[in-house]
This record gives sequence, structure tokens and C-alpha cells, in this order.
Amino acid sequence: MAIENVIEMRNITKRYKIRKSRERFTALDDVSLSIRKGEIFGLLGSNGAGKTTLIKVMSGLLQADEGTGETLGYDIYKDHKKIRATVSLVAPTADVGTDNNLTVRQNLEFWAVVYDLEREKREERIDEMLDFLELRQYENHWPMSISAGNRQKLAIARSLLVKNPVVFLDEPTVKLDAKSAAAVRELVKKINLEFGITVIMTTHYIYEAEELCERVAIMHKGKIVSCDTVANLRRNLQRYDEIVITCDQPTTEALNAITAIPVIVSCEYADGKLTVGLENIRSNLLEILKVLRGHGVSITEVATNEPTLEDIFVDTISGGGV
Amino acid sequence: MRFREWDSLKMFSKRELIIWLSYKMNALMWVLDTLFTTIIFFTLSLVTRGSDISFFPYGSNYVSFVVLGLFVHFISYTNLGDPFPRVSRIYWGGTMDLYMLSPLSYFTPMLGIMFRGVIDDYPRSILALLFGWLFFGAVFTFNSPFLLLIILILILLSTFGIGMISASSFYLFDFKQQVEPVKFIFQDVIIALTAGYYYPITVLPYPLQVLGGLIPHTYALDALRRLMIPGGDALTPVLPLQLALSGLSPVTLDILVLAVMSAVFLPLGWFMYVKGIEKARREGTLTRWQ
Amino acid sequence: MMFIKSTLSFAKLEYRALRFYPSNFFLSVIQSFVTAGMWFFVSMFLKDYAAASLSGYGGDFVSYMVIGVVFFQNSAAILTLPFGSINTAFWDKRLEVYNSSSYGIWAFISGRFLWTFFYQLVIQAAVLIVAVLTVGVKVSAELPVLPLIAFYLCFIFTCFGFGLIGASNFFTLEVKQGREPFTWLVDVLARIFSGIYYPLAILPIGIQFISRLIPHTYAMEGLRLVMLNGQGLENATVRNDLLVMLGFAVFSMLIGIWLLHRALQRAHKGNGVGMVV
Repeated sequence: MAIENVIEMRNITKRYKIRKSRERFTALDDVSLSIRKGEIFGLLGSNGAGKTTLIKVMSGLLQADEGTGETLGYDIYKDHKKIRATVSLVAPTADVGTDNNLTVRQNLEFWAVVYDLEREKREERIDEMLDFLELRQYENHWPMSISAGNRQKLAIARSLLVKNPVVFLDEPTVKLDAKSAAAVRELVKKINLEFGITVIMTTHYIYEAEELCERVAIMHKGKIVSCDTVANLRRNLQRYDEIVITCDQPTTEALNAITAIPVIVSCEYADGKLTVGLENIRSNLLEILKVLRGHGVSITEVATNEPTLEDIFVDTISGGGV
Repeated sequence: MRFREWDSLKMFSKRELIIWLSYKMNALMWVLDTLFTTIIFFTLSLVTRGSDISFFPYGSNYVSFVVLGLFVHFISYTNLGDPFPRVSRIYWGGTMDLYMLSPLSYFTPMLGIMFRGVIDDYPRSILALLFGWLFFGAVFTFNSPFLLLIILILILLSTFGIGMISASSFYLFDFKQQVEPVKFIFQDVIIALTAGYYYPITVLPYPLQVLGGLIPHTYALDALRRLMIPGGDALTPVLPLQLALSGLSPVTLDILVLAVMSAVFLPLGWFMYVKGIEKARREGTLTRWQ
Repeated sequence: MMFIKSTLSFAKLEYRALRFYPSNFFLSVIQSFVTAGMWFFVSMFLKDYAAASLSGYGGDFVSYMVIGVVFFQNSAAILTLPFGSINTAFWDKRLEVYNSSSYGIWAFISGRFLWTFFYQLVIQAAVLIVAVLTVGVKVSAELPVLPLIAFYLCFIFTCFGFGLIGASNFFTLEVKQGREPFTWLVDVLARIFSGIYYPLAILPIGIQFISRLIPHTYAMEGLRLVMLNGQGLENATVRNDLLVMLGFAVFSMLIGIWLLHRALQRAHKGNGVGMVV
């Protein structure tokens, strides 16, 4: 039976003990979500929002205090060992799990055995990963002699040795320079596309979530405050794209013609500027300019304003969320 | 143990060997350490030169006496003292999560990393015997090889059981930064003082002799010395328990006690270690990566 | 002045770390007692046989052994301190941070030295006092305090200087893991040849000269003459030993500081003092 949702979490709560205190810190507060097969799903939130804790619960590394859930059809309480044997994880620090006394290849050989990869397939799979992740030239190098980006690739290669159906990436680019981070993001897209692996990644880089993720859950203080595609998140917050056109006062017919375009949400002229709110600026900008020109409006300047996920994030956590 | 676990254990061992071999200076110092320790006690034994010293019922050769003490010390040092720091290394290295995300049992990573200690200490036991015999006048007899083998196996098992209890405290009792008390109390206090590595425990005040009765080393050393040192007496009881149960031969009693300790400590350590991991999983303290 | 303040800050950091884990203090005290206790029992076992070789110290092997072990434990902690400090800070990725101020690493090592000095002094003094009061270790009733302090300080600074030499090997010889060879060698030679555990007279005559090359020999001899026999500076052996110890202390400190300074400079020009990220 094919599993549509690889992960289902319902009302998950997790509280940590605070050292030398009787108090408990609520890391996850009644969290529910579903993740579809083959999706790249983002967990976005600032430090301490609960992203890593949620990942640990989903991967079977941490037991929730309340709620129910399944990962790959396995119950998170009763079958946590089975979950752990069928998911992969890349920690925030690339050096976790990388032994600096072994070469790159030796590291992969070690983990291939630990992850119980069949003996006949080990060499072939290691070669495949080295080529796929462009690490071939470093295979006999010590990890400390290669860049942090390549060490992160090594960590990803390790997690892909057995091609588990679900991979958790916990802040995979947090300690990388821009170029390495971009390379890792490309890799994430590649592994999702080529191997069909469901990727759940946490990040506090908004542009990263925007670039990679089909859906994003925004977490704040242990709760999921919003969970949807970026487009829907914008729509729900009524944060639309905007075109700001510096021009002469348009005629009433011109304004009516613009408002008649289906994607237009708002249209106002004030202080020498026409501000048009709309969905999907890229498909409709030309049409709007054509309409204005067609009605003889003289255009001096055109500016666009697309709300970013950052705008959505800030709005959401400051109470503007759904 | 399933095939996968053996394969993984071999891989861990291979990795630890590669690491061990990459520090050649350390390997050399390790060999020399054993030699120098033997030298110190050989030199100490020179104070008895020409005297009628006797270590009844353990013969009269102080070098043989001490070398057997070193043998048991090195071999048990890893089994008892290594599990905790290995678990600690897995924790602080952040790799416990990665090992948990594999099909391996809870024990295989720890056992695998312990191989480093095995490479370090097990050969040292043999080297101590060898150096003592080759250079410093230690003499041994091997009249009861089967009994010697049983004693060796039982000291390995019993000390490993204590080691597992010690390792379990890392997660079970949250001894993450402090000195671990089980290992400390057993290895650094009781064993150091009362095992009789360097002196017969009859030198100790009686309460300390009784305390020494709680550790497997006392019985292992008593049996090994009686059986292996020329002039060793297998019949006369000297340990408190032997005196209390004088109907049993001392060596038989030693082996029985070692067997009981193995039967108790090993499963208990196993159980506590599993409970510790499960507790850490519940509390989110498997690794320091949070 | 800033250097002293930094040093004191680092010393205070060690104190705070200990307060956070107070059990570590108790356990290290117990460990010192146990080590001394173990050698106490060795000496009890062999005392009747060793007495003949110890006529110069009153023939009391037990007191001879305990005093040797107590001071050796103290010195061994200081000997391994500099390398251990740099090693720990390196792997914790703190070394580069410390190095970012003009004397950060020096203040760090000095602070840890200061703390360890007083910490060990208290613990070993406690061990000695307990040994004297409870198990019959004998110390001269007319104990000359000034020579005792002089010997002790010279011994400590000699070991600290050697420790700095060992610390320089962290960068010079790239000893980043395992044991540092120079301090290991000093430790081994001291254990075998300086009379910590047995009188030097029992060593084969052909190798007794090696003892005279090791500072621990003079320290042990001097400290025992002072504590067991109550000998002061009027005794020629005590005077000579103290002079030798003073020479060792000055020499080892100067060499140690110079070597570590040079090693840090070389590291700075090379790969830096921290881990390559």
C-alpha cells in the first residue's frame, strides 16, 4: 500500500527538564503536521523555536510526551527503532560523524557498514556518492584538509549511502560560505529530484526555505504558527506583490481597465504614483503597462515590490499569521 | 549476535586500529610505559634481595607477584574503565544520534569504540608478563591451563559487567561532566587499594580486606598467584571469604565467586545501559546537539 | 597589571568550574589519598627489608615513601598542566579566542597554574597531615620551614618550566593527541631514577649517575632531609641540593618560556593556533 504522507504528527508536545530546576521548558506545544512523499518540506523559525526537537521526534530519536504520530507508517512510540533504521539525518555541524583520522573514502566505508549496506553494493554506492557529490578528487584526503562545504557534502553523502526514503537536514548550510551553501542547496534539489527522497529541512535562512521548499512550516516558541506553500502564506496574510508606477493621473477608463484584470487585487493613485496590488507580478506586469500606454498615460518609472518569506515570517510571528 | 553486528564490530575495530596506528609515537610510549612500570617494581623488589621474604601463599618471587598484578590490572582496566569514556566520546562527538539511526544494537558502537582500549591494554598484559620473565627474573608455572583460562574469562566478564554499570550512569544518572562514581569507586579507590596488585592484601587492615572481597580482582589475583607462581600454595585460605568458608578450597571458591560476579554484574550492566539509553531518548539527552 | 588580572580571571574560572561540579573536588581529594594509600601499603609490606638502605633518613621506609609520593603527585600535576591546558583549549576551539588578546594564552596557562598550585597544595598537605596524624608517618618535630618552602617552590617551578617545554611541542612537534613525549620522558625518568619509591642506593651502581641528571632527585633528597631529619641550610647536602634546584627552576622556566613563545610565533605564522575550520 503506497503511503501518501510519509509523516503524520498529531498534537505533539515535548517538554525538557531544566537542569538544576524543577521547571520544564516546552519545546513543542501541540504540534501537528503532515509531510507528503517526495516533498521538500521546510521548518522555518528562529533559534529555540523547536525545529530540531520536532525533527528528533519525527526521526525516532526523541520520545514525545504527548500526541501521536507515524513516520513511514511506523508508530513513533512503539516502532521508533524501525523509524530510525529507515531515515537519515545530517546534523548542523558537518564534522559530526566525520572521523578526521580517516580519509573521505574510509569515512564512507565505515558508515556503509554501520548502516548495513549490503557488502556487494558498498564499493559501488560509495563511488556513486563520490561522483554525485563531486567529492571524487578528495576521496583520499583527510576531512580537515577539505573545505567546510565539502565536509558538509561528505555528511550528506554519508546520509545517502542507503538511500533511505526520508532525509532530515538540520540547518545544512549554517556554517558554510555563500558558495558552499549554494552548492548544498543545489544538491538538496538534486537528491529530491533524482532519488525521489522526501527531504525535511530546518533552517533559519528565509531565502533558503523560499528557494527549496514546496511547503514551509513556520515555528515560533514551540508551535507551528503557519504551514503552507509560500504563495498561500502570502495570500493568507494578504501580502501581495505590488507594482508602483510613477505616471500622470490615469483616466477613469484606464483605472477600470486595470481593475478588470482578474489577478488585480487593488489599484490606487496618490501623490503621482499608481500602486497596483496583484498576485504574481511576473506574469502580469506587461499587461498592466500595455493598458496604461493604451490609454495614453505617460509612465516615468516602474518599481516592483514582492513580499518575501521574511515579510511573511515577521508578520506571522508578530501575530499577523493565520 | 547477528551477522550485521559482527560486520560492524569489525569495522569499528578496523577504524580504531587505523587511528591507533596513526599515532606511532604513542604506540612506542605505550610499549615503553609497560616496560618502565615493570622496571619500577623490579627495582623495588631489589630491597628484598638476599632476604628471606615470603608472600605466603604466593611464593617468594616479588617480581612474579607484581607482574601478575600488572597483568590483571591492564586486562581489567579496559573492561572496567573504558565503557564510560567511550559512551562519553560518542555523546560529546554528537555521533550517538547517527549510531541510533542505524540498524545497530545499542551496544555495538560502544563495544566497537572500546576496541581502542583493547588494543592499548590487552597486549600490555602480555608485555608485562613477557618483560618480567625476559628481563626481571619473573618465573611462572602453567600446570593448570584450563583453570587459568576460566579465571581469565571470568575476570574479563565480571569487570566488563562493572564497566557497563559505569557506562550506564552517563545517561541513567546524568554524569556527563563529573567524574563517574562507579568507575571511580571501583577502579580508583577499592581496586587501587585492596586488589593487591603490589602487595598481598594481608598487609591491609581487616576492614579493607573485607572491602577487597567485593571486587573480582581480589579473587582472580589470589587464584592466579597460587597457580602460577612457583611455591604458590593452593590450599591455605587467606582471604576473609576463604577463611569464612574454609570447607571449600581457596581456588575453587575464587572461581565460584568470579562466576557469581560475572552472572550478576554483566546482565545488570546490560540492563542498566539499555535503560540509560531509553531514558536519554525520552529526555532528549542522547547527544549534546540540541 | 592587565596580565595579572587576566591570570586571576582564568584562575577564578577554574574555581567556578569546580563549584559547578563540587563532586569533582571530593573525588580528586579521594584519589590523592588513595594513591598515597596504595604506596603506603607497599612500603608497609617492604619496610623491614628497605630499612638498611635508608639509614640516611632514619630507616623509616614508610615515611620516606609517603613524602616522596605526596610531593611527586603535586609535581606531576604541574608538569602536565601546560600541555593539557593547551590541548584542551585547542580541541574545545577556545585557543584562538585566547590568542586574540596580547597575552591571552599566557594568562590562560598562568591562571590554570595558579589555581592548580593552590589546589594541589591544599590536597597534598591534607594527605600528608592525615598520614602523620593517623598512620604514623613521621615528620621531624623541628621542621625548618624556610628550606622546605624553598625546595617546594623550586620543585614546582622546575616542573612548570618543563611543562612549558612540553606545551611548546604541541605546536613544534604537532603533538595534538595522546601523550606529550618530553613530559612523559621526564615523568618516567623521575619515577625510576629519582628515588621516589625506593632509595637510590638499591639502583645498580652503573646507572646511579642518571639520577644526578634529574631535578626530582635533588628535590626528593632535599625535602626528605628537611622533613624527616629536620636538616636545614646548615647541612651541606641540603644547601647544595637547594642550589641545584634553584638552577633547575631558573633554567627550566627560561627555556620553557622561550620555547613556548617561539612555538606560538611559529604557529601564528603557519597554520595558526586554532583548528582549521
